[in-house]
Amino acid sequence: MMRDAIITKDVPDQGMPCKAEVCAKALVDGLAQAVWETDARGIVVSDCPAWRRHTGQSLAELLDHGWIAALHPDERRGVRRRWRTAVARGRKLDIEARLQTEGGGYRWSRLYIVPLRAGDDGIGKWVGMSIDIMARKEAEQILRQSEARLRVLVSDLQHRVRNMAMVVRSVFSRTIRDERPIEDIAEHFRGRLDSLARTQVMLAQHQEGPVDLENLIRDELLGAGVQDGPLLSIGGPDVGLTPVQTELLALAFHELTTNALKYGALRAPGGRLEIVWSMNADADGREDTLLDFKWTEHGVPAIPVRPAYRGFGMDLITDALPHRLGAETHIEFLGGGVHCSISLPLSEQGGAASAA
Amino acid sequence: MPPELAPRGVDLLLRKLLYHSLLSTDDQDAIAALPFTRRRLDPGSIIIREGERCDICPILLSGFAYRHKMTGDGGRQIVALKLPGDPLDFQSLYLGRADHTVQTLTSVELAIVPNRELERLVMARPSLARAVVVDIVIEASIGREWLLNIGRRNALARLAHLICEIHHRLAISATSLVESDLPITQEQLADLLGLTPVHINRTLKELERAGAIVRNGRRIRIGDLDRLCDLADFSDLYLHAHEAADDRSVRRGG
Repeated sequence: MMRDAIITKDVPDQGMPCKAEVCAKALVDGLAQAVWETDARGIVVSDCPAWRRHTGQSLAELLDHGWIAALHPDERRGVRRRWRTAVARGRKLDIEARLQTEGGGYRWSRLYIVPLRAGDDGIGKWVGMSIDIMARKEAEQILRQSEARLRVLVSDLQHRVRNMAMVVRSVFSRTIRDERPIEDIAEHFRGRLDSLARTQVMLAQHQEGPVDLENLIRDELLGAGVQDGPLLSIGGPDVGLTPVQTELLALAFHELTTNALKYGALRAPGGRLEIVWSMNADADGREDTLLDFKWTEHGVPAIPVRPAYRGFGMDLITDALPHRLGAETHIEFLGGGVHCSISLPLSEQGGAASAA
Repeated sequence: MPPELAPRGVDLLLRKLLYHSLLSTDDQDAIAALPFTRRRLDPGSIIIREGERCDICPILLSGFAYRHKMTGDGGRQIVALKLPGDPLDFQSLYLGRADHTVQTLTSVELAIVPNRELERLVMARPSLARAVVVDIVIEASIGREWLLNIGRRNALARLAHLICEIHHRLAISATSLVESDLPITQEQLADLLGLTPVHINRTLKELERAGAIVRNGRRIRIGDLDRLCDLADFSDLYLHAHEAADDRSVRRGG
């Protein structure tokens, strides 16, 4: 408290607690970086030590219109023009500009310059002050960035909602196309919807980064109550997926898992499932851009390809993955179980998928 | 209040009961006067064994313990985690045989109260009897949340949820996971969450990448609680931590 108090000999001990002039000076001193004066024509003719301390200008640099040179180069012309207009019209100048600091760099300041009238004879002189507004400018900047990010998020969300409606419609129409009892269709549709919902949760959890391939696979298997153990091995390097890759691959893993549970390695006694992947060079020889994924079932008695499986899951793997993700896929129902391979180009935005 | 900072014995239980129940000074004094013996146990010690009769109520003073059950082929599921201040077996006041095993997770310190002493208090003091029931009911609520957690959340949310819960429950004994380490190994986390140790390991990595937790070797602590709660889909309603305050305002209103 005491440190901030203005102690001055001008304050009378009795009568008014302080003279208006002293009060005004105390307030301005507390608020302003510098206070200066010009003559009637707007030319600085006297020193302002506070300005020089703040900007590092010499007295010679400050005088006349030299103070404008302490502003950021981008703002000098505009300020000079507005200052001339203000002087010509006898109107105050109130602007925000970056002001150089003695230590180098710039800080946002508000420059406020008002004319003082000398009786009826017009303007006698001008007084100005500069106020540091860096904190406010920084807060505004952060707010602008945050709003921009929010706009991106909202538009991304709208895009995703539309996309989701499209995916659900396609899943629905392909699911009901299979000629099966309605209970079967309902069960399949619900399973696919659950898988989509799980993926949405994962995407929400990874808004700022890629989705990990292995965790995606593990979550899909976990949804079916299957975990790694002697009959299930999962392994490969860390791979980050974009939202679109995540959505489609999750659905593909769901189809493979459901099939394995109903007819394949996760049902057959002695069945075993091996899920492995590696990162390889693509056709142009670019290292680590091609994901080679293999789903291999062992120990499943050879049975003919079930027509049921030729529906949605088959379409997804042989048609949608190549079409939407540029993947090369093979799926075979060999003796021993399903063999499915997916070669997926990840490119830059895939391998190091950043905030989208 | 120095005694609160360094709970001596059953005071810690009293503090936990006061979190969810209103108790008169008489009731509080009666609990504080319960006779007990202190015991220290090493990690992995069995406190209560499935199928046996139990005539004591151990109260956890420090360290972690857990209830677990096993399948016929030895698969283990941890069904409840017990933290400082938790009574380990209020249920044996009402049920004859233990239906699960209680084991220590870390080194622990226990205050062991004979069941007959507790029974005497519960019979004589209805508010205390109610507090014991509330405690059991809240434990059931936590059990329901665990069922949901293990049944329906993905691995990332499961693990984040467990860490959030431990953090909130530890607040009762004035410990914070933001400043102290979680004394649970990855194998134990796997048994707690119905996941494999490999999956736990990957999920911990993901939580760390998200900035939600900080790891230092085997140590885990919370890095960003808000982020962790977001990932966990966490709401503390099921912990009923403000039950006593709600109760108080209802009574005042009435």
